[in-house]
Amino acid sequence: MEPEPLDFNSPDGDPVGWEVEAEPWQDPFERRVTHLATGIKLVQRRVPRSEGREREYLYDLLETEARMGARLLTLLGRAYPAELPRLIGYSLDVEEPFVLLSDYRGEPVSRYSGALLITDQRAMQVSLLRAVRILSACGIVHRRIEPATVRWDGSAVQLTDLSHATLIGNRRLRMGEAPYACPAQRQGTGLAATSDDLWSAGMVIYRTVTGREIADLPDLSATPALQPINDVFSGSPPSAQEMLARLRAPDPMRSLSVEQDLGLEEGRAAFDRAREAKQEPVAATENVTRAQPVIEEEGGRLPWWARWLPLAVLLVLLVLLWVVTR
Amino acid sequence: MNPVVVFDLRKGEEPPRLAGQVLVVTDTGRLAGGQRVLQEVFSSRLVRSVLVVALGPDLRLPPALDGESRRVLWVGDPRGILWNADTGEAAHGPEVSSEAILIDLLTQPEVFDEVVNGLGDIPYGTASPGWRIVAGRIAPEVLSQAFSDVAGRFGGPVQQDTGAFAAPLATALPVLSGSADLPADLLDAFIPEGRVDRLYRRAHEQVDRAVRALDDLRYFTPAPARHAILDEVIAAGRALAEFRDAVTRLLTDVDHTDEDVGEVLTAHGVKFATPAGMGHAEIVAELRADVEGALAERRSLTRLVARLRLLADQSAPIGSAAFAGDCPRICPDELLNALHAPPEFPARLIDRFVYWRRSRAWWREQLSLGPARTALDGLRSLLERVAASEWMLGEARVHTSDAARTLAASLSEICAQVAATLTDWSKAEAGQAAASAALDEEVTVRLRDRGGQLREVIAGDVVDAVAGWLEPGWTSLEHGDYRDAQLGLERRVEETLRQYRYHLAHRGVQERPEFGTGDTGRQELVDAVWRQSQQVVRALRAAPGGQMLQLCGDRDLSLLLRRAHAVRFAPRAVRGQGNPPGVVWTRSGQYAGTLRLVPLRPGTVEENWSGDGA
Repeated sequence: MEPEPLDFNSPDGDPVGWEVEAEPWQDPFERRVTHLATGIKLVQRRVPRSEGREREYLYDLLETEARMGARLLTLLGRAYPAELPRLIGYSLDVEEPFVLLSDYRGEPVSRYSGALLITDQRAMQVSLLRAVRILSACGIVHRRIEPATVRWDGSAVQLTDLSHATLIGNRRLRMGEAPYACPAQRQGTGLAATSDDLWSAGMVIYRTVTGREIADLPDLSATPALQPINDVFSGSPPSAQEMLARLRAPDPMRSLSVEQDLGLEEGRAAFDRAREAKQEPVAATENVTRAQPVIEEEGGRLPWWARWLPLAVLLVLLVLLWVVTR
Repeated sequence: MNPVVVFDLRKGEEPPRLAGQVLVVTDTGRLAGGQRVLQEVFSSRLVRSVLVVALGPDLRLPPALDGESRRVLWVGDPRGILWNADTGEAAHGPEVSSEAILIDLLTQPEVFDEVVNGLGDIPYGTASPGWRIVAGRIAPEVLSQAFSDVAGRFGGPVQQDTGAFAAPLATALPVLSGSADLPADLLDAFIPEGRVDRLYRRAHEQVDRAVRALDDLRYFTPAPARHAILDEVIAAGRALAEFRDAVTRLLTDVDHTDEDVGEVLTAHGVKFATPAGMGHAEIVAELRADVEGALAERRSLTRLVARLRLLADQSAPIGSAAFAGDCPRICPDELLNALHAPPEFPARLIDRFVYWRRSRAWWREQLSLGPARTALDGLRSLLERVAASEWMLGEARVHTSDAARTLAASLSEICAQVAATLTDWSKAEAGQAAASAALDEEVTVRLRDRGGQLREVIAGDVVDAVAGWLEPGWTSLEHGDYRDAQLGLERRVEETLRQYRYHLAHRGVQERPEFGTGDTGRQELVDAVWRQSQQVVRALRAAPGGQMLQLCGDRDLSLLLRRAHAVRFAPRAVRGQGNPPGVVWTRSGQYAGTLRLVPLRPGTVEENWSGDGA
């Protein structure tokens, strides 16, 4: 492997130039690179030119990944948890945009289906719920928790792929498939909430612990030990903290501190400044690549009062009618 | 019995690792040149007997093949000619070389010895071989299909099984997996005069007192006495609430994985004793009996994996905390509220004095002492059940679950490896040529018709091997070293499968492999294929002078004498009643029939004295 230069922005938006040793692009979207100076291994996720031409939304997914990574870094700061992918840098305004993430740990959890011992099952459940809890504390819904995006290294899980993540409270988009996506998410109704991730996490836990294939709601009667996760599939799911408490695990947010929104705003502003600084010279192409944004919260959202307008008009009419006929 | 060593002089190699029986294969032209090597073979103390197969016309024997120990089979033309030694009539043979079959036949130690003995009675120890044989070789396409079917059976998806785990012979496993009731002695979990026992008794007595006081309510009972009843009810409610809190707190705070679980429980007045018959060794012994029973019955391995996973799921402890939510269900807050603030006896004069009976019944119902007693007993029974199933049996359940899961993982790995290997075999067989035309093929045809039975026998043999593969892992499981249980498994499976492949190729499916424990289906296959074959009977009883395929050319026939020595042989699995005497029973199952040794006319065997390198 020949050393090659890699220029990108740090999460703070500062330009960085590294010399790396990179594996060939066996998967056109992802490869491993090693920073030569420190020996740190990283994952580089990109949108190849050929793929991006046909599927422009891939650029948005990559940007979401960078945006969410930056948000997590800003909010969680130094005590960054092992369960989440760590953004190292990004370069979004080049022909083949990419993000750099900390290296993967362990193997996809599907490899351990039905084979985890009880202590590992418990550790896996706690770790996955910790990840969901931390994301929820940071206002993020992952929306894509499934066996392929959850890795297990024998002591902790690593939740990967934030490209479909969104902020809590944004409108749900029709996304994902049974059994891992919750019904509301599959139908695209209501607002994104941590319960979506809890549903998916519950399914991943069931699949991994029992090794059974599932098409829809699992039958937990044959697996009494999973009773505690039963109500994540119900209409009134518990919170992630409550789930952790049921497993007698402490709430990770007691030891982790989420920075105040001030810090978040600063981080976001830094990200946006860096984006804008980069975007100015290529404003024309930017418009093309963002012609059909997939992330709905950024496009076509009505002002809050708009949905109440018809009701208000109706009320006024009724009052008028009452006044006239009185 | 040691295998016969084959030494092919035509390949010009040095002698292989020698053994008691050496079969030297050469052509007649190269025989003289092999003088030195032959001498080496003959002079070795390791070698008991040497049989030389010389292929080609014009037999010239070198000095090394001189004297009493000379045993030579001369194959003038490996394609052979159909020849009746009695009448001298000849006809064209099948026009394919039978060399490979002859060598295959002579590498069977029993046949080798019999041929060597037979040649001892023949002048010059030299004869021309002829035969009438039935081949039992499984046709490659049949074998390929059987391998592929068995691979499919092992590689199939793990069936879903969500019923209850049932193991009729086990005692601990049904209890640990929740499919049998908990033993009564475990369910009596309160230490007399311990903390929870005291709380329970107090609540019980309070409820009793309140009930008694209510029973004593009479028409003329004054108001202060009625108030006293209310006080009793409030006290009962308080005691019940206290007991419920204590139970909830215990369920939430204690877990069987806590280091000091025993002390904490004892301090709270709950018994904590590991029950008899639920130790690691006993659990593994029951698991082993169950798995080996299933293997002996040759049940499907994928089903066994599903069954073990089911056991693992069902025996995994739930954790007492999960039951804490049952407390408010058994003893709802509404009940406690009703007991804390009980309604007064109806105060209106008409209710108090006119409708007295109705008012008393209404009050009795409102005071909820019946539900209070039910709730109290319900809480006690919940705590006792959880104490038994989650605390006392917690460790045993973890062990059961982990051991079952490890076993399931081992079996699943075995299934994957067997399926992959057999798929490879299937592909390799599919590339093989069909059987030789030089033999009577009835048995082969019969084997082809019984592909289903063949598949059962092969699948059964592999299942038999599973018990051996799991054997070294049991001790690790007993000690709870779950990760060690799979050590070396892959290598063991690979080794056994390699041996089995050799076994199938050289000894045949009708012989039980070394690791085999059962013959289910095998005997039926042998009976159907070999014993009922008329051709096997005819080949075994063939007169040595009758028509046979003589392995020589047309012109060579004139060099043969019109008499023959017969060697009759058949796979030992075919052994039964009605066989002719003197049959050599072979361990290999490829061929059955008669091999005749026809002596050469005097003067035909010329000795070549030209020496080495001539």
